[in-house]
Amino acid sequence: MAVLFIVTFATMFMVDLGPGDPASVLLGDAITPQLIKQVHHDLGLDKPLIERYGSWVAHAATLDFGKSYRTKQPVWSSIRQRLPVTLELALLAQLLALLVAIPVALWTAYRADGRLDRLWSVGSSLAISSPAFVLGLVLAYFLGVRARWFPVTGWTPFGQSPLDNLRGAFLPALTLAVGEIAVYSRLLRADIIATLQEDYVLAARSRGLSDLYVLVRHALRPSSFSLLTLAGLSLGRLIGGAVVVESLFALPGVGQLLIISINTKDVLTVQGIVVFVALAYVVINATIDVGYAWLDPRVRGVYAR
Amino acid sequence: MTAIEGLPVTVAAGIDPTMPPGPGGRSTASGVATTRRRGRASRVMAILAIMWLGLVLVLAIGADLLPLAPYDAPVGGPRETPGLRLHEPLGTDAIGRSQLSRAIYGARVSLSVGILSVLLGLAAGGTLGMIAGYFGGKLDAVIGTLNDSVLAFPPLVLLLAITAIFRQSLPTLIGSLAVLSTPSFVRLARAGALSYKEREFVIAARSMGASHARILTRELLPNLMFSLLSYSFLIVAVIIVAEGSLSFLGLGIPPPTPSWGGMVATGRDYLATDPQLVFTPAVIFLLTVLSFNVLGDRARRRFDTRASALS
Amino acid sequence: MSPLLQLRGVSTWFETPAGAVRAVDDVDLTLVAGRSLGLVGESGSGKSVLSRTIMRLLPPNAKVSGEVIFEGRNLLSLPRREARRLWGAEISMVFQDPMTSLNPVVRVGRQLTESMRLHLDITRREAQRQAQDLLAQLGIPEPGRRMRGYPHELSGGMRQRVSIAAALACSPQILIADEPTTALDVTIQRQILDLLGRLRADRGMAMMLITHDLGVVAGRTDDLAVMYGGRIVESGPTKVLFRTPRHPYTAALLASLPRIGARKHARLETIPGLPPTVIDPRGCCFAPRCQYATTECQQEEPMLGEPDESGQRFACFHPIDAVTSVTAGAGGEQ
Repeated sequence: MAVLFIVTFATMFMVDLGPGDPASVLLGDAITPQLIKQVHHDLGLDKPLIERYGSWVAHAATLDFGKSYRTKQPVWSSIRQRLPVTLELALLAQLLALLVAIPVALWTAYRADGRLDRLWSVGSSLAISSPAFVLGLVLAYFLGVRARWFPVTGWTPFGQSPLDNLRGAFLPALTLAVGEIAVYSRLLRADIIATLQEDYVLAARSRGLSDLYVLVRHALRPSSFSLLTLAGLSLGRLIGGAVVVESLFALPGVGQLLIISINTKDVLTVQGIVVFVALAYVVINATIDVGYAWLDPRVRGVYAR
Repeated sequence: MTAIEGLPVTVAAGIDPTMPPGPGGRSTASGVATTRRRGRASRVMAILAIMWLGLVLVLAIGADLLPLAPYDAPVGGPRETPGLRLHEPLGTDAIGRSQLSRAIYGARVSLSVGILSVLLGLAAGGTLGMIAGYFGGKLDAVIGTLNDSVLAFPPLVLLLAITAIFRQSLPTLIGSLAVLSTPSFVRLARAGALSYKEREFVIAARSMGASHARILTRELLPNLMFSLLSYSFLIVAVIIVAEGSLSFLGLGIPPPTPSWGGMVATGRDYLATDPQLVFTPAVIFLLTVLSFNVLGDRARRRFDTRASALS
Repeated sequence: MSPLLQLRGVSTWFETPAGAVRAVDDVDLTLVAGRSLGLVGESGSGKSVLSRTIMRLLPPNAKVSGEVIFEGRNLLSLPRREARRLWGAEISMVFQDPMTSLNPVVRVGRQLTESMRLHLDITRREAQRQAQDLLAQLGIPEPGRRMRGYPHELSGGMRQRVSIAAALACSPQILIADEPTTALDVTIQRQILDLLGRLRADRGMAMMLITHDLGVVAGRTDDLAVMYGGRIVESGPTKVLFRTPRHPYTAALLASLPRIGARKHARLETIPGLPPTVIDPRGCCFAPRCQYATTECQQEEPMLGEPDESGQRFACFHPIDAVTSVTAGAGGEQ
């Protein structure tokens, strides 16, 4: 709760923090004293701080972040317009990351110190070290420009053509996913290796069950708790990464809006996006608990009681 | 689980390639021999990383003494390809400026920004974390809440928000990146202080009438410094990536000062025809980040084993 | 008296950075069809490693030599695919701690039926019915409801019953029980041991009962093998070993057992010293703690002798009966 307070207060305060008067930034050349007063009144800058915070939170709670001075549109409606793109990217990347990371982790844990495991320990270092803007361009060059498998720029709404939409979203999603794949697979590998020493895994093996069955049915689920936490946390990181990827592949998402708003000094929109993302981040982390209950029946019992 | 939050990617993942090998269904495997082989590979990687970082560092520091072409004026035709020659081995950029000299001067920005802001973050985060862990109580709660608040923003979004408010300049950049790196150090230092404050040597110092300040600086700090510094490598890697991303988005150091991220960004328009404009700075960037990660992993691992041997 | 499972010269050691650590050293052991064998030793004597060697459940840094013969095939060199067909179906294992040997996130029913469906080739419904019968047979109330639940909903004793049911699901010929009652309350221990004994008799199964507690095997197993420092130091019919232990270690173990009819508040005998951590290949490994030890014991390793007419074998230069004369002789040599 205290975190929420500080986060919102800090974001609201953002406008005041900047050098110079926000009104002069917003108005550009057309400065007149009346207009400045008008802007101050619109932004509520003429009221005391606490009162301003109160009314700002009251509005923000209903997703009313004010109106952009640039587009004259409510900030929330322009966020909402672009949200599906960013959300699809983040979820697709997350899905891709888990789809690749889980089998890789299972195999590298099963054959720990094997050839593939050692290869992967180098490969994943490389993946972790590649920032989105480098990776995105490498992928765009080889899979887009050279192989022509995927378009390098542009976005087709899902409703218009699901196939084109997925084709267009693939490269950006993959760019976001690669780093996550490396991190997820390393974490899960370590946890599976620990689980494989557990008595219940030995017991399952002593019943003659196949290695694959034991890995998937007995070792995977108890090993996924840290992965779940990390996956939740990394959704926030994916949103951050989406800024770069959207700008790189020219996708009309929230990240692109953020960059445009920063470049045009559209402070209210920046403020709206920042608080929205931070709140989403807090909410996501709170929902991770639900996932724990799904993974571990013991936790389920605690919640029921 | 709380330890995971806030730490950079590599740290959070708890990566340890020398983890004991699991029963891979082989009743007789030479687990020890392969681990040794893996250890040798990791040593080679570390040596290569040190060599690369040393080279970049020497070039960056000595850039003014080297017979380099100016980084902000054309020296040849546009988009000359790299090649094995004495004159401009890395080619030229879109308007004919020397890629080599831009890369070296770009290294100055990336390294100084990365190292300076992490040192600032280390100082601020280390101090706050030590105080929080050592004194506990309300002070701990306040610092913890502030820390969580910073962590509630995705790193790059926070960075962009700060950039939106302040003018683009080197001090702003270093300051905001320092803010970004602080929370990890707060957590590390706090956890360390918590574990050390009940140890005999601290209790002994306290019973001899040492002041809090003395205990913090003379007893806790030397013990924590080692682990904080070993994590610094990993955090420098994260910060360099953040700086690069910001420059790539055109929100980093303003031109004409070259930066690696900016070089990649300008090269991007020529990706289809002259991919080397992207790949040359990208490879330099990647190798640098990788080197920091490799050394960081190694430093942390060495520290961790020592810590477990102590307790 | 046909041997069902035969261990010949089985050794297990672990490669560690500090060097090889030998946990099981040249063990010969025979499990006869339908009979029960107690394997007794202090913690660290290698008995658990031995059971895991038989089941090939060792960590990757373990090395094994020797043979474990079952139905003419060496279990240690069998391809895993074929060995898996025997595990659970012909040879099963019950683990020490029921708190850790059942998977906390898998339903009890699945843990019971998965091996049946694998080995017996029966339908899901049939497997469930059989598992439910088995649970009822093992004295678990409301077996149907338990099958749908998770292990954490059961008490320790109930969990161990479920573990046993999982091991017995495919009616194996051999059951290896590794300290099956050590983690349980004393009152429950008895119930579980009696249950195991009854099931063994009913099913004509062979059982290897591993324990550190001679009281557990007393009157329960047909044969007994005493392990010390990774070696079998004495073996034979349980009754004979209890009556006339020849190896000083067996005698010491027996002396440390509380007896009914003993004087009240009598001090229990203890064995001085600690079991060896790393086995010194030279000499008898019990020598440092043995009151009868001579220089011969420290320099040469006593081998397990041929069985006498009662079936007893022991590895000792100075067995209990001959103690007086041998100590006198040893004194004379010096």
